[in-house]
Amino acid sequence: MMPSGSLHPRALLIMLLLTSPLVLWLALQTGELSLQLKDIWRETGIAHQVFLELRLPRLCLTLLAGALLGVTGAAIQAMFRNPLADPSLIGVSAGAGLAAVATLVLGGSLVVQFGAVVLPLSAFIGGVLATALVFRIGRGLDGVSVTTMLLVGIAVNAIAASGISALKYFSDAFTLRQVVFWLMGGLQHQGWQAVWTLVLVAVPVLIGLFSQGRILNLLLLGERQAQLLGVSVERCHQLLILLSALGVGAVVAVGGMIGFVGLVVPHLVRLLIGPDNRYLLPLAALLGALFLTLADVVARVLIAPAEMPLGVVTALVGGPFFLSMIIYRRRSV
Amino acid sequence: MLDVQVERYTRSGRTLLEGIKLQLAGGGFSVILGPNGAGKSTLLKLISGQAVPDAGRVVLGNHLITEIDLNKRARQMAMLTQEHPLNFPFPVLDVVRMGCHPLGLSDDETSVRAQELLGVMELPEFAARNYLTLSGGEKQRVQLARVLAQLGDESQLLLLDEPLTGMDLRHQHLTLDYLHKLAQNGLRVVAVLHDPLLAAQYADQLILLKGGQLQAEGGLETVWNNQTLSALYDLPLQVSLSNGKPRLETSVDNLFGA
Repeated sequence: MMPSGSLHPRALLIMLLLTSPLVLWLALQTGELSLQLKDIWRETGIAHQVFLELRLPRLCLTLLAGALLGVTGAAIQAMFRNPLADPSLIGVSAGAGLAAVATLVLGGSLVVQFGAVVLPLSAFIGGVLATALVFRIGRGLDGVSVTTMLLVGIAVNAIAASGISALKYFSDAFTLRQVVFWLMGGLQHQGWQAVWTLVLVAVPVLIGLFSQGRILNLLLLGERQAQLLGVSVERCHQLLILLSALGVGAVVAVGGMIGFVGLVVPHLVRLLIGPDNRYLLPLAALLGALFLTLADVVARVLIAPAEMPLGVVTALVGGPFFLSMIIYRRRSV
Repeated sequence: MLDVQVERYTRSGRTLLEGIKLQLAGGGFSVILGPNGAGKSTLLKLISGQAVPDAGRVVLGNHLITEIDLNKRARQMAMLTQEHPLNFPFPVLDVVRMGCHPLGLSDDETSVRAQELLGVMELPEFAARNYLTLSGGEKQRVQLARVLAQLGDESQLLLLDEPLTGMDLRHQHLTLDYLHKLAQNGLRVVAVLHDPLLAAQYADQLILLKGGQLQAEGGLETVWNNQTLSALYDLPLQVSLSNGKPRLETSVDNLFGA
């Protein structure tokens, strides 16, 4: 049984805001080249270029992607009324990934010209289809059961994985390399264009989901119960599926498979402040941003000078975390 | 004014309700009685507009219940369902506060109101407790407090599906007494109960349902007799009224013998 959370949401907010300068500084500092503050502003130096073209966009990407993964994880858990739901476990990321790989391999000149739009868009569509599928099949009277949800997730992940394998088989050497690196998950090879893509998605997704906090609380009472309180449950589900898939789809399109952030982050916030979605959603976004940025720092230093794929790092943290949650639940039931 | 006409309601080939006509005036306490599977919950579901009869209609005020805007309906009608699937560790006070949602109150007002209703359910010191750690009966009282928090100026109808589940005897009576008072103040209360004696003590109308059909309906003078109640439950029952107070005895000596 989880405790109800004893920390005041404002206290957690202040703690996270106080920690964030340190995280941001770490992220900007970590890399092959150590940057001196005075060098950054010298417009002709290499430090200036590294800062502006590599470190800063990468930081923006980890912040935005982390915020999106944190908030969509929290929203999906509320919609499924199940704290174990996570975009990567239930197949949303895989669905988005399959659609993006399909576009990458089959899209040809379309990707070369409009990659920044076409990839997120196809990932979004794949994400919507996967979410809707898992939700429709897994939904029972008492919400979505863990077992069904995870089983459907396994199926969707397997279908997506075989689809991706088939696509890899048919792709040429260059595309294959692109796909492989992209699938491992990472934000190191992206520039400002990817940042703007994520900004464009993050604004409506974050605002849209933050505004649903109260309604999501009511949904946790049960779907019938929420409806009796005046919530138009069907429309609410549609909105949640669209916004979550949009958020996850954009992250997948830009950074590949970055798993478990949507599971670990909302769970930690819930442990600290309780399950009230009015505070959980914004704080999950904030912690998600800091968490993914830190994970990206770890990815850079772990096997320096080489880099670990970001998705591998989050899975290394998230996998054991997920296991401990299952063990914890087994004891309490 | 609630007008219920369920000529037929069928689900996957089985007729669950048939030929039910009820006209319930503004204020009053109706209790639906009947054996398991009689269609009691289904009837409440149809009255609440969460299901639609194949033939028939449910009218609240002057409008079909299914055509009232969800938000407006939530202000006119509150309902306690039989199940409470909440499985997230909210503090008890927050659970009750959620009931205020359709009323559009400020945060301070909902807190006061929720605390008040926890008082009514005799759980005032439970406000900060984790809902998931409560006992079954306590959870039930919290959920009932939540549903009562939904009642406001526009409320006409309160539906309750087995509101006493898990409650100790004191709180069963406390709850029924409170519902009775609400009904006297002009609210139409319709509850599904399993104890005919409790129902007879507090309700002013009994609705007897069996096999999806209306077996009898009315005050004690029409339904409180051995024949009607024994037939309802397929159980030999001896009922009586002494000084207007209902009594009930069960003779179960030889239930399996016959």
